[in-house]
Amino acid sequence: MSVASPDAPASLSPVRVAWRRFSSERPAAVGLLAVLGLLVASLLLPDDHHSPVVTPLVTAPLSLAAAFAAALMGILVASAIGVLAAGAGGWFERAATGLAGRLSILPLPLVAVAGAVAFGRDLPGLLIAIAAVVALPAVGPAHAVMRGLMRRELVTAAHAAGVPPRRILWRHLLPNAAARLAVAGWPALPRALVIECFAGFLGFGAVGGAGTLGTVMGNAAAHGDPVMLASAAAVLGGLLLALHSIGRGLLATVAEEERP
Amino acid sequence: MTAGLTVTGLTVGCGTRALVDRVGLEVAPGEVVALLGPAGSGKSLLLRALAGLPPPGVWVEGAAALDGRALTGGGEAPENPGPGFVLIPERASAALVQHRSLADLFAEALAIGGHGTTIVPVLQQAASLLERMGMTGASRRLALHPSDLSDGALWRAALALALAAGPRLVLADAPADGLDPSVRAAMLDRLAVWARETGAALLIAGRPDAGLDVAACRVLHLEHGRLVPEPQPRPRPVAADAAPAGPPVLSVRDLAVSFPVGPTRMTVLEGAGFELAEGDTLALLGESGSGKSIFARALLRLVPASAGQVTWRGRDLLSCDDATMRGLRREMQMLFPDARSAFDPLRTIGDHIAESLAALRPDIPKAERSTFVTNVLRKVGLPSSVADCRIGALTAAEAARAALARALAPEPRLLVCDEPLSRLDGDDRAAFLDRLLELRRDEHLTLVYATQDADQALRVGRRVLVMMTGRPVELAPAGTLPRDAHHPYTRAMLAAARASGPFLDGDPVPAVLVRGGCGLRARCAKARPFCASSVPTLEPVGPGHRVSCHYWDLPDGHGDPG
Ligand code: SF4
Repeated sequence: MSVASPDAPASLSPVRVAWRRFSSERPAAVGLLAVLGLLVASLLLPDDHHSPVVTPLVTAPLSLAAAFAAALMGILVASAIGVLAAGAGGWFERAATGLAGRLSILPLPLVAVAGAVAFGRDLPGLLIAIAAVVALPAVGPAHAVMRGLMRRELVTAAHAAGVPPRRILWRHLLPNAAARLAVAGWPALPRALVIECFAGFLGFGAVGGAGTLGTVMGNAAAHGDPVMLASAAAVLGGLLLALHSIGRGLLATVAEEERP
Repeated sequence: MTAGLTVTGLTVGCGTRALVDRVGLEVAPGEVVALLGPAGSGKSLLLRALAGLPPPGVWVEGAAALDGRALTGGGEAPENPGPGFVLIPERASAALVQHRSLADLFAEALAIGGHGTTIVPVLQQAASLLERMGMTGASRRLALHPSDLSDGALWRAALALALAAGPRLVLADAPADGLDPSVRAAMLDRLAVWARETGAALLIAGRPDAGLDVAACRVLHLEHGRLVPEPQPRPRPVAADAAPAGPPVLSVRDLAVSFPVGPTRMTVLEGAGFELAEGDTLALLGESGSGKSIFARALLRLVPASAGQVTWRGRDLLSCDDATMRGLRREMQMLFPDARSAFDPLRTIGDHIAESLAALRPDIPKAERSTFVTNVLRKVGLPSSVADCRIGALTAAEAARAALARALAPEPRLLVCDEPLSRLDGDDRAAFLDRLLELRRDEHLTLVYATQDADQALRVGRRVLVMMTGRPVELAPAGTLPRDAHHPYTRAMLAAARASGPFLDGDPVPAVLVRGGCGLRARCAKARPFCASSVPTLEPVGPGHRVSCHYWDLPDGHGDPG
C-alpha cells in the first residue's frame, strides 16, 4: 500500500491548505488586495484635509482599525460565551444563547450609540459599546461551532484513546474551533465598521483632530459638502464590499474542511 | 434487428486515456444484468455514455443500440435519445426535482410515456407504481415533496418514477445505495420482477459487495474499464478459533441507553447482554437504527448507560469513577465507522498515537514512544512515514489502518469495532478485514464487532447477536445461524447477504418509534395481533441459541396481522 502523494493538497500544513482555498476564491483575494492597497495608500498619501479623494482614503484605515479592535473584542467575548454555553449545557446554555439571540434583534447601531453615551463619547468608550453590541449576534454562531465540534467523532475517539477531557479541550477542540470561530465571527467586522461610522456621523469617537470615515461624513453633511460626503460613502461601501468578499473566502476554507 | 441492449467495442476516454476500454455486452429484454466493479472501475461512466450523458471533456467511441436503434455511435451522443431508456443516477435525490411534489413528477413522466394527462388516472398509476416499489400508503404520499421522504421512500419514489414512462431499458447506477442490506435486496428484487414482467432490459451497476447480484440473471465484472472474468475468491484467514475456555472476561447484563427528550426519556437500547471469554469473538448484527452502534459505545462508556451492568475482568465499568475508567481504557479500545472523522485534522497520525500512549501507557518513556509508533504502524501494514501525515493526506484504506494502529498502540485486550469497513470498498475492505482478523488471532484479542452485513458477522464472530429496534432478537453460534436462524429479521438479513429471498418489506422502524410490542410487526410475514401488544423476550431454543419472537416456530407465511 502506498501513502498518498506528499504533493497532495491534504499533505500541506493546514494553514497552507486554508490559504490555497482562500486564494482560490477570486473575490476574496481581490477584497484582501483592496484592503491592503487602502492601507498602503493611506500611508503614502499627503494628509490633505480638504481633498474629497484623499481625506476618505486617509481616514478609512482609522475607521477600519477601530472597527477591527471592537470586532475582535466582540468576537472574543462571543466565543467565550459560546464555548462556556456549549460546555456547560443545560439551563446556562439555553439562557445565554436565548438572551443573546433576543437582544441581537434590537437596533444595534442605536444601542451602541446609547452605550457610548454611558461609556464615554471618546473612541475607547465607543469601542467598548460597539464590542458589546457586535458580540450579541456572534454568540449563536460561536455556540453552534462549539456544539458541532463537540459532537464530532474525533472527540469520542479521543475519549476512547484515554485522552483526559482538559487535554481534549486544549489540544483538539479549541485549535479546531479557532478558524471556525473566526469565520463565524467575521460578520462582526463589517457590522462594527457600519456602527462606528454611524456613531462618527453623530459626532462620537473622534480622536483629537483625526477623524474617522463617520466623522468625515458627519462634517461634510454639516458643512454642505456633497462631494466629500459621496466620496466618503463610496470608500465605506467599497470597504464593506471588500470585507464581505474576504468573509466569503474565509467561509470557503472552513466549508471545504468540513467535507467528508 | 436485435432486441434489447447491444453494446459493441464501447470506449470512453479523456484526452489520450481510455477510461472504459472496448466493452461489449448484451442485455436481452426482460433480463437483469449486474455490472460489478470497485470504485473508479468505470461503471458510472459506462452507464452515462450509454445514456448519451458523458461528462464534459470525455469522448465516446463504439456502438450501442437498443432494439436495433443506435444509442451512441461515432463519438457523438444522439441528439434526441427518446423515451426508450432511462438512467437512474447514483443518488436518489438527483433523480427527483426537489421543489415539485411526487404527483407533479409522476404526471410529467407518465405524460412522456403516453399515459395521458387526466389527473385521476395519472394519480392512480403513480400510486400503483410506488406500491410496486414497496411504498406503503402511496396515494397519501403523492402530495409530498422529495425532501419530505426518508432515504428508503426516496429510493422507492426514484425507481417508480424511472419506470413511469415505460422504458425498454433501465440503466441503474448503484440503485438503493446507502440503504440497509435487507431493504435494498427487497427493493432490487421488486425492480427485477418489474423488468421481467414488462420485458425491459435492466442493467444495474455497483460495487461487488453492494448485493446487486440478488436481482441479477447474469453478473459482469468491470476492472480498470475492462470487462474481466469473475475474480477468484481470495483465501481468507480463519476468523474464529475454537470456543475459548475460561470464565467470561466481559459480561453485559440488561444494558439500556436512553436520552432525555424534553420531560421524558427516549430509549434507544434495552435488555442487551452477553458474555465473552478471553479471546472470544461476538458479532453484533443489525440494520441502521437497530442499536448496535449505541450498544458498542455503551460497552466502553462512550455513551452513558441508563441501566444494566458491564463487567470487565470483574470490574463494573458503569460504576467506576472517570479516572479509573480512563486507566481501564488501556485494556479496551474501539474502532469507529469513519476512521477519517476519528482523527483531528490538525494533528499528525504520529501525534495521535503518541498521545494515546502518553495517556494509557505511562510506563513507556517519552523517548521510546516514536519507536512504538513506528512498530504499531508497521504491524497494521503502514509505512513509518504515515506518522508524519495528517489524516487528510491518507486514503480511506490507510486511514482505517491508522485508526487500527491507534487502537492497538496501548496493547488492549478487548477491541470493540463499530462497522470499521463502512467507508471501504472492494479489495480494501477484504484486505483490512483480513489484517484485523490476523491481528486479533495473533494477539488473542477479545473482539466485539458491530456490522450490518450478515456475511461479515458470520465470518468475524464465533457467536452472533442480532439487534433490532434497540433490542437483541437472536443470539446463536455463527455456525448454527445460516441453517437454523429462527427470527424473521435474522432470516431476512441472511437472505440479503446470500442474495436470495424471502425479503422483508418496508423500511426499518427506529427504536424510538416502536410503541410496545415487537418492532418488526409492520414488516413481518408471521405477525399476529398479539405481536402488537407484547414485547417478546429472548428464550432458549437450542444450545447457545436464543430467540425473541412469539411465533418463531410458526412456518413462514402463517401471519395474521389482524
Ligand atoms: S412473529 Fe411477531 S414477535 Fe415474531 S418477529 Fe414477527 S412480529 Fe415479531
